[in-house]
Amino acid sequence: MLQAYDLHKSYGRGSSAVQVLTGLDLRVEEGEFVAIMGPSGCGKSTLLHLLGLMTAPDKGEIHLENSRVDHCPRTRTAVRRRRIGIILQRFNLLPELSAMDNVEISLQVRGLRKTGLVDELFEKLGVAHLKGRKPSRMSIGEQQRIAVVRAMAHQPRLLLADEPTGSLDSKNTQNLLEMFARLNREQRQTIIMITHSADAAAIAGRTVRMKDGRLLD
Amino acid sequence: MAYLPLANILHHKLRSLLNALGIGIGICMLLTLSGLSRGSLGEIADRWDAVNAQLLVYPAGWGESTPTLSGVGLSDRFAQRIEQQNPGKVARAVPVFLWPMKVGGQDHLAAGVDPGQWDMLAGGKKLSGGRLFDPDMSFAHWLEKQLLEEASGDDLASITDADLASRGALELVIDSRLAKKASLKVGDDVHISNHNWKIVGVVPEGGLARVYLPRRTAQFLFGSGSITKSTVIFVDLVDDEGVEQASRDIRNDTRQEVVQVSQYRNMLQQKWGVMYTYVDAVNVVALIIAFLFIAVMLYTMVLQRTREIALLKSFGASSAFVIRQVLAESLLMTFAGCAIGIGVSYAAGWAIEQVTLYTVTIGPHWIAIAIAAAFAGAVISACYPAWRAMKIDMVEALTME
Ligand SMILES: Nc1ncnc2c1ncn2[C@@H]1O[C@H](COP(=O)(O)OP(=O)(O)OP(=O)(O)O)[C@@H](O)[C@H]1O
Ligand SMILES: [Mg+2]
Repeated sequence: MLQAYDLHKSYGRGSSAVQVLTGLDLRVEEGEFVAIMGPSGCGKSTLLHLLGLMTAPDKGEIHLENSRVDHCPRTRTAVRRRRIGIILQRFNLLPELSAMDNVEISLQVRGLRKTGLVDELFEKLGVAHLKGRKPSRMSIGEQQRIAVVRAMAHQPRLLLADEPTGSLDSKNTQNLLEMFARLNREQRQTIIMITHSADAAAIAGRTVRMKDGRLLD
Repeated sequence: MAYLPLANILHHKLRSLLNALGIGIGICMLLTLSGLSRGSLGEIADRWDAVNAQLLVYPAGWGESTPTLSGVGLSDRFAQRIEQQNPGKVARAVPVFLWPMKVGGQDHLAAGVDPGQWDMLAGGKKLSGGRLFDPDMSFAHWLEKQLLEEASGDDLASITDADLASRGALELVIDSRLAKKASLKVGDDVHISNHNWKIVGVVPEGGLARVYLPRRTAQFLFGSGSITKSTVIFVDLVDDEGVEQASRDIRNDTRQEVVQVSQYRNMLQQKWGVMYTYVDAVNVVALIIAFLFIAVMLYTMVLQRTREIALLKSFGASSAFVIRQVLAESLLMTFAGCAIGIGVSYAAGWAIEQVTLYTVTIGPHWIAIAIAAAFAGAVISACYPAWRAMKIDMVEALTME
């Protein structure tokens, strides 16, 4: 499903450059549920941005479903991004749009229409009452759950989640994790989830640990 | 349906309103100024067209782009000659003395006409109130006797305003629009050009002038000491077909300028061409400012919303999609601006016509130009902001505080 070889990524230039990823290798099989753990600032989010094709590595390769996907033409990369579902650590929602419209616009971008699944996801995540509400009038945890709905509405084969349970209470955390596990089990959806919680990681099939821009093994 | 450009506009209501207003003002200026300049001249030309005559004769050498025809021009003998030389072709040749008079705070080209020729010059309009001046031409005949006949010992200097007034010479007919605007009615006294006049009649608008006076009075007061000359001669032909030929014949015979009355429109336009250019230049500047407005607005919008645009891109939005959002927002704003601008223009035009005697003609032609200019401006001013939006770095936008 997904292979990353020798990924390097730095921010900034010259003397102020920060080396974030320093030769990271990762291999995730189709239908796997992988949790990524590691100390703050070790580059987890950066890795997710690379896997989500939001930015290109300085060095190294990323292969997705048997094709090399780093450094492809912009249009092709955009089309590939549509098939991925991504939940970012922060700033997930468009403030001008209601929760439902936030989901719909992502479907629109992907050239899809709203299906019954969307309402189902709103129900399952306990945010059905927020459909018409704008993000500024939601709690962080509610916003995060809307982002989950949006990331899953198009049934992506690959779901990338950056601390999706970070702002949720234990009941909602449990609920979300169970949903991830079920999707992974029943629909063989590939999930890569970043988390700081050992309990959350326990749900995943495999946990990898990161430190200083590499995986530990 | 989630429609982001509209949602953005509605999310920032005040900002959007101000922008739409900016465009609206530009459009309104374009329509109102061009409608005013062209409408007022068009209205004058329409009134001249309404005169029941085909040809206009005026002094040789005044040229095509002559300043407003007025004052002493052609000898009245030309009128007689034109009729005599073209029997069966010319129905009548009618001299008219034109003179600027200030009524109701605005200058008008008043027409000194013989009461007997009223039907030709007033465009077939019947008086809606009062009566015509000097109806039985008694003043005209009296004045002719005093000044034109050899035997008379009287001269110009001995005739006073009191004489004129007592013989009904200082009487005016005005048109209904001027009457309304200047709040004048039949029986009112007005002081114009150093004389006291009485309004004796009101005629519906649409004839040669807004202010009419007896031609002999006009000649006597404004004719430089002689009542033998008028300004122009209108010629009514028996047969409309022979206009070209008649025009040539009269020109050759009298050696004066002869044009078709319908050409007066072109003469006005030539004369005021510079003003059109000026008005149009002001309009272009107004529109450019309106679109600088939009460009700055779109640009700040893109800067403010890098994060949202980055999010769209993270779902896989193509560059085309991002550009479309910016463009659609610009077009929506422009659409609103056009609606406001056109609406306000009609309102402004109506208001101007209520308060002044100017005419505002908002033609479909100018609306089309305004809309085309607005949308071209919308597209152009969206270019740079859209390009910036396309270039936004997703990770940077979504990780930086
Ligand atoms: N846009 C950026 N520009 C410059 N430096 C950045 C940028 N984004 C991240 N960094 C730096 O890169 C390093 C790794 O950041 P990253 O967000 O990947 O860490 P993380 O493992 O996700 O941490 P956390 O668990 O706190 O979310 C950090 O030192 C951070 O300061
Ligand atoms: Mg992170």
